[in-house]
Amino acid sequence: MSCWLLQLINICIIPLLLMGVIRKTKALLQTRYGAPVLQPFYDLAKLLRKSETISGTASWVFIWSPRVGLMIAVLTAVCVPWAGLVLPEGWRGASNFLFVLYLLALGKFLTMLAAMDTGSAFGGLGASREATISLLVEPALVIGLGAFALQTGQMDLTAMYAAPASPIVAALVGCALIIAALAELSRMPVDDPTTHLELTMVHEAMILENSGRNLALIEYAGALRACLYFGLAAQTLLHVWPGFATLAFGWHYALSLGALFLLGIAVAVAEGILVKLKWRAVPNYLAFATALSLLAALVAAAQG
Amino acid sequence: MFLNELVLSMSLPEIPGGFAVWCDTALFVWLAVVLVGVLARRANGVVFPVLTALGSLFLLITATVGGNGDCTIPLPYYLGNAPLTFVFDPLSRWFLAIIAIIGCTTAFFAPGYLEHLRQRVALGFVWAGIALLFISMVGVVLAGNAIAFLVAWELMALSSFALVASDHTQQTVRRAALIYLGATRIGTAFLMAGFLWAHQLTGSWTFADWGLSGAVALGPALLILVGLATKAGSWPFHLWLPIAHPAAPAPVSAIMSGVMIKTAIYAMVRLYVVGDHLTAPALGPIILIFGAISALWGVLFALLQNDLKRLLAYSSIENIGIILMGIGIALIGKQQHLPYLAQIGLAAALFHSLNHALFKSLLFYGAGAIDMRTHLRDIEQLGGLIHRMPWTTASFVAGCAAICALPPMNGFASEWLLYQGFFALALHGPLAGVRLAALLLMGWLALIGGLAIACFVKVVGVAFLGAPRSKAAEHATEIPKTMLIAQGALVVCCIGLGIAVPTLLLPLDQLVRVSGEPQLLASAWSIPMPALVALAVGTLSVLTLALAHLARRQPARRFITWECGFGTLGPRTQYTATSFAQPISRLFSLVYRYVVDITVKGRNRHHFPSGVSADATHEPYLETRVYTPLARAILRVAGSLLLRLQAGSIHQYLLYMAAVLALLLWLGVRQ
Amino acid sequence: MQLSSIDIAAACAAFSAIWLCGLSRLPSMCTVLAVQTLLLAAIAGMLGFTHHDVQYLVLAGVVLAVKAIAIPLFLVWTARRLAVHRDIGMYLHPSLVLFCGCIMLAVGFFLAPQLAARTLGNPGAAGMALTLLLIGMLVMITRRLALSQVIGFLVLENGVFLYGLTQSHGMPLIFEMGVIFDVLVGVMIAGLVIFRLNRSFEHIDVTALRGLRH
Repeated sequence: MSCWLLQLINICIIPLLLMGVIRKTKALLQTRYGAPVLQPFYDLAKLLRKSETISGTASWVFIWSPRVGLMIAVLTAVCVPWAGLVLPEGWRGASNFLFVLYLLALGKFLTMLAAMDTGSAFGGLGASREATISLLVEPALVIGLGAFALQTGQMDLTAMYAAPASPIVAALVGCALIIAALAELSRMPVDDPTTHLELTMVHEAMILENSGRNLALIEYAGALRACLYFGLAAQTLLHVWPGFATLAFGWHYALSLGALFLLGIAVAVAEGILVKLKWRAVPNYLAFATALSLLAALVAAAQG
Repeated sequence: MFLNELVLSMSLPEIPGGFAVWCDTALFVWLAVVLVGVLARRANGVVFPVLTALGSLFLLITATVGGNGDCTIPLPYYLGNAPLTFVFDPLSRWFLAIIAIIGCTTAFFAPGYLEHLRQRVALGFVWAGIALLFISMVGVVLAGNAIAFLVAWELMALSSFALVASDHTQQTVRRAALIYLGATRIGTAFLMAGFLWAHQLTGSWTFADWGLSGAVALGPALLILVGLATKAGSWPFHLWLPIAHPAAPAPVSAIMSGVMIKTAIYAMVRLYVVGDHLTAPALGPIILIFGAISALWGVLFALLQNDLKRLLAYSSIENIGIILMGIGIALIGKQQHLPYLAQIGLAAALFHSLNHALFKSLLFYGAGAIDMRTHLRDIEQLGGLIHRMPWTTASFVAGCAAICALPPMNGFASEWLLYQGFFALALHGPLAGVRLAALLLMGWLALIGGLAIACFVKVVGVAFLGAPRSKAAEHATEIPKTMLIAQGALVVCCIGLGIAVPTLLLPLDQLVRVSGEPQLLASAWSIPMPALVALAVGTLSVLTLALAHLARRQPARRFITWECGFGTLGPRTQYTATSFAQPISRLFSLVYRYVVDITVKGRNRHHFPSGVSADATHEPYLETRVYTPLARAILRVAGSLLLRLQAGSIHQYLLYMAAVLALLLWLGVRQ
Repeated sequence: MQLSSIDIAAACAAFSAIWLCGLSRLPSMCTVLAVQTLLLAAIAGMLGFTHHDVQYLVLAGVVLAVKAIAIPLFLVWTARRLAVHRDIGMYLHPSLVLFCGCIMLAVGFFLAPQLAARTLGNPGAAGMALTLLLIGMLVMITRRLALSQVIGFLVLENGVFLYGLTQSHGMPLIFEMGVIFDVLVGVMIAGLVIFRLNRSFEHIDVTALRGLRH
C-alpha cells in the first residue's frame, strides 16, 4: 500500500520537477537566470485555467487523444519501476517491457492521428517524422531491454531490475536507452523542443494546434514519459554497479531518484552543447542506439 | 453432380457423434445458396444472406461443440484409388470456427455492399461463389488425405477465381483474375508434386500414415511448402496477392485475405507441426526466415501503397509472415525438444490466424464501405470521412489498432505470444548464435510493428481525418445499419479477444499440447488485462470529469485551423499519403528503386513557379531484376520450343496422344 | 565469464572500430581512430607491466606517439587542407555499415576460441583483433574517399598489431618499430598521393577512378 502511495506521489511531483530542473540547468549554462524550478507547475495550472481553441476540421480523435495519452502515460508510470519502486505481486505482469512499449506506442498512434485530424500541413509533417523515428527506436529498445531481460529470464521490468546484472550489458543497454530516449522524447539532437520554426519540428509540429487544457494534458504526459525513459536508462546504468540490486530500500530509492535527476542535468548539458541534427542524419544517429543494443544482445546471448 | 454425391454420402454417417450432422447441415445450406445463386444469377434477395448466416451458424456449432472424429466416403473406382477421408479434430475445428465467424459477418455485410455493384455484376452468381468458397474451405480444413485435400483445394481455387473475376467488365479485374489463376496453377503443381512424392515414399494418401521424418522428408516437405506458401502469399511467392485480392468485391477480399489464405497455414500446421506427418530439421529455420522476410516485405510495401485495398492486401502478406514465424518457432521447439517453445509458437500462429481473420475482414469492410459511398480506393482522394461516416471510421480505427498490435486489442495478444516464443528461444537456445538470432528477431518484430503503425496512421490520417480532398469524399454518407452490425461485431471480437486472453488460451492449450506435456501455455500470459482496463477506464473518467468541470467555466472555441495568416486553407494544403511515407520509403531503398520526381513549371520557375508537382514511384528489385527476366526467359523458351510443338496440325496432336498412350502402357506393363 | 583488463581494452578497441563505421565526418573518424590506437598502446603497456618487460613499454610509447597522435593529426591536417569533411560512403550508408560492423564483432566473438594461440591467455583479444581486421576491410570497401580508405587501412593494421601483441610473445621490438614506421611512411605516401589526386581531379573520390579505364 505504501508503495502505491509513494508511486502516486512520484507521479504527481517528479515529472514536472525534472522538467524544471532541466530548464533551469539549460538557462544557467546559457548564463541566463532562467525561470524558477517550479515553473512547469505554474505553466500547467495556467494552461488548465485557459480556454482552448479547436480546429474546425477536428473530430473526437483530436479531443480524446490527449486524455487517452495522459491516461496511458499514468498507467505506464504506475506499472514501471522507473523510480526504483516495486509493485505488488499481482501487478508485476503489467510491467512487462513489451507491454509497456506497446502501450506507449498506442499513445503515439493516437497523438499522430490527432495531429493529422486538424488538417494542417504541419500536423502531417510532424506525424510522419514521429512515425519514422519511432520505427527506428523500437528495435533498439526491444533488443536492448530483451538483452537485459535475458539475464534474469523474465521480461517484467520489476523482476529485471530486482536482480544483479552483468555490468557490460547494463552499460551498453543504458547508453542505448539514453540515445533512444532522446529521440523518443523529441529532445536534442533529434528535435529542438524550444524551436520556433515549424518546419524543423517533430513533436511540437504535431501538437501545434493544441491549446489550453488539451495542451496541459499533453505537456504533463510528455513529462511523465520523460521520467519513464530517463528513469529506465538511469536504473539500467545503475546496474553497472552490481551491488545496486541488493541495496536497502531507502538507499535504493534515493539513489534511483538521484540518478534520474543527474541524468536530467546531463541531458540539459548535452542540449546546451549539441547542435540539432539534420533530419536526414537522424536515422544514422539512431543506428548507434541499435548498434549498442546489438552488442548488448551479443554479450547477453554469449553468456546465457 | 459430383459435389452432390459427395455431400450426400457424407450425410450417411456410420460414426456416432454430432459433428457430421451439424457440418452436413451447414454444407447443405450453403449448397442451397449455390443452387439458388446459379439459377437466379441476377438476384440479390434476402434468402442469400439468411442462408449463408444459417450455414455459418451450423458450422460454428460444429466447431465449438461438435466433438471430434472422422468419416470416410468411399469413392467409385474410376475416381482414384483412395477414399475421401475427413477428420474432425481440435485443429480443424479451430479453423472451422474462423470460417464460421467470417461467414456470419459476410452475411451481414455483403448484401448492402453488393447492392451498389448491381449494374455490373451478377449478384446471385457472387453469392453462389461465396457459398462454394466456404464449402471448399471447409473441405480443405477437414480433409484427412491428400486426395480429399486436393479436390477441396482446387474447388477453392476455382471458386475464388470466379469471385475475383466477378466484376469482369473491367480490364484490370480480368488481368488480376488471370494472374491469380496462374498463381494457383503453379501452387497446385508444386503441391501435387509434393503429395505424389510423399505417396511414393509411404504408399498411402492418408496424411496420418505418412510419418516421414529426417532428410527423406525434406524433398516432399519443401515442394508442399512452396505450394502452400504460394497460396498463403508468403515472400517470395506473394506477387499475385496484392493484384488479385483488391480486384474482388470487398466481402470477397475479406474472405480471401482473412480466411482463404489461412487454409494454407492450416495445411502447414497439420502436415509439419501437429501431425508429425513430414518432419525435417531444416524446415523450422526455413519457415522462420521466409516468415520474417514476408512480414517486413509486406508491411514495407503496404506503407508505399496509396490504393487502400492493395495496401490491405500487402498487409496480409505481413501477417502471414508473422504467422509463419510462429510456425517456425514451433518447429524449432519440436526439433530442440523444448515443449514450451513448440506450444507457444503454435499458439501464436493459430491465435494470430484467428485475429488476422477478424481485423483484416474488418478493415476490408471499411475499405468496401468507402468504395461503396465514394467509388474511390485511392486514399489521396479521400479525407474527412470521420464526420461523414463516423461509425465506419470508429470501427476502422479499432481495426487499425488491432493490426498494429496495440493493447488491449487482439493483435497485441498474439504478437505478444510470438515475442514470448522468441524470448524463450533466446533463453533456451542451444547455441549462442541461435540465442542472438532470437533476440534480433524480437527487434525485427518491433521494427515491423513500427512500420505497421506508420502505415495505418497514414491510412487513417489521410483517408478518414482532416478535410475531404475530393467531391466524392465530401458527399459520402454512412453505410446501412446491417453493414455496421458486421463491423461492430468484429470490433467487439477484436477487443474481447484482446482482454480475455487467458480464457482463449484454454482451448488453444488443448490444441497445441501433446498429451503428457505439462500445461505451459497458461503461464505465458502474465498481463492483468482486465484490472488494467478497469484502471484505465477509471483514470479516463476522472480526467474527463475534471475536464468537463473546467470546460464549464471556459468553454472550448471552434476556429479555423493554423493558417499562418493566409486565410482559410484548402484541403490540398494537407499532408499527402505519399509525403507521409516518404521519409520511411527513403530508408529502405535497398530493396526497391525509390524515385521522387519533382517538376517545377512556369516561366520564372525558381521564384514564381506556376505549378509544382511531385511524383513518387518505386520499383521493387525482386520484380524488376528477378521475376521479369525469369518470365522473359520462360516466354522465350516457350516461343521458340513450344511453338514448334504446337504446330496447329491436328494429326500432330493425335500423334502426341498416341505417344503418351504408348508411354503409359509401357509404364503400366513395366510394373 | 572472467574478463582480464586486456580483454576489456581489446573489446573497447573493437567497439571503437564499430563506432567508426557509423561516422561520416572525417575529423571524428580520426579522433575515434586515435582513441582506438590509444587503447592498443594501453594493452602494450599492460603487457609490459605483467611481463616486466621494458620492450613492451617502449613499444607502447612509440605506438602512442606515432600511431595514436602523429598519424591522426596528419590525417586531420590533410582533410582540412583538402577541404573534405564528410564521407557518406557508397553502396551502403554508414548506419548500415554500423550494423555490418556489429556482425563482424559477432564473427570475431564466435571465432575467438579457434583463433587464439593455445599457450597464451586472452582468447577474447584474438577475436577482437579479427574484428578490427574485418572492420578495417569493411571501411575500405564501403567508403568513397581515399582518406577514409587510409583510415580503414589503419584499423586493419591495428587488428594485425593487436593479434601479434596478444597471441604471441610479440615480435622483437625492432621488427615492431619497423612495422610502425612503415605504416607511418605508408600513410605519408598515401597523403602525398591523395594531394596529387586532388590536384589532378579536384576531388579524392575513388569511385571516379573507374573513369580511368576509358
